[in-house]
Amino acid sequence: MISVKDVVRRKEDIPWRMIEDEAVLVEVKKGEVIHCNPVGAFIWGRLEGTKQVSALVTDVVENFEVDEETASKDTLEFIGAMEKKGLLVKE
Amino acid sequence: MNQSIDVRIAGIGFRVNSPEQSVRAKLAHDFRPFLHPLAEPLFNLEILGPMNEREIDSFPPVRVDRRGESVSFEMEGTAMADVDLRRGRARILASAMEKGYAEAFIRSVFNLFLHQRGGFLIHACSVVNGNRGYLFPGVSGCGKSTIAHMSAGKNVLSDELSCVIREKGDYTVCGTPWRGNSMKRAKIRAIVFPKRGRRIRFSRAGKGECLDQLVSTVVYPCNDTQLFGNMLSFAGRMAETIPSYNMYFNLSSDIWRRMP
Repeated sequence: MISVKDVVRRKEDIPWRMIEDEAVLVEVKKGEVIHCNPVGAFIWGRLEGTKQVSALVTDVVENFEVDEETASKDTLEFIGAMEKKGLLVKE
Repeated sequence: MNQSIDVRIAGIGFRVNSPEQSVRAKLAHDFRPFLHPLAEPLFNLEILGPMNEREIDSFPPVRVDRRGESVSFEMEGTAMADVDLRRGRARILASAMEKGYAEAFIRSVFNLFLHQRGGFLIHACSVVNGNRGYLFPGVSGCGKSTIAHMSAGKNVLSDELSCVIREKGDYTVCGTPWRGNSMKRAKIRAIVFPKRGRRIRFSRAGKGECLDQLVSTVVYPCNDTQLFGNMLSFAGRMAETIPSYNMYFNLSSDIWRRMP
């Protein structure tokens, strides 16, 4: 289970592309296509190198004009889903 | 004696070499509209062994491995084909020379080189109306064959497997010998995603939605990060530059009367 104290990073072999304010990712081994909404795309784009989840929450608050509780819930949900799909790892 | 035939599909020229006259005759028949003398083929494809005439009803899973510039195809633990992308050479082995398998391997090798250059085969119906190309990508059962049937009188390039390349800056759909045999090609005017509906209706698809649907219908030659990256970049530019629509229709719809 992911918490805001965790440090995460993208896996390296995940081809992805931003398109407008969304993102499309491909899990190559399974051939699975993942479509990220603007918040998910924003978070994914922020994952250059390692990042603490709490820092991502702060980024979401600043860029989407939402309160911290909402940002935290959305960020944890997204990061958790990506980890479950094997697209990012906890350090 | 000449043991090779030259083929050009979607601007990609390749030379097929085989010592077996029956193999060359079969391929010359299947690729007839696409035979074209080549000064410098992009790749050479060597077919080893005679072709057996047993029809293949279903295709067992193929394992495709890429290691650097080499790609190997295995079926049920047996090597069937190997490709050297750097040298532009491919071999289809005798064990692959059942009638159905050989065609599939040639198509897979062609698709590999196509992805490497920029372009792809995609599960899509493609139709040229006047000089405008229309691409209808979709999964099995979405209505691609129905669209082809509804396009009588127009130039149907394929009802299932279409080839997209970049030519002189334009995204172009081309005919191939697989599920069609038209040599025609045209700049893509619109990407239209077929959906079932009570009556004919077109709605604009978002660019993200378009990319999502394109990527889900591209035919991948192998699970390779670099090729996926190429494909994503290519398809992304298509989604950004070509108008795309969802088309809701049924069997009685006159799709071409309302086509964008």
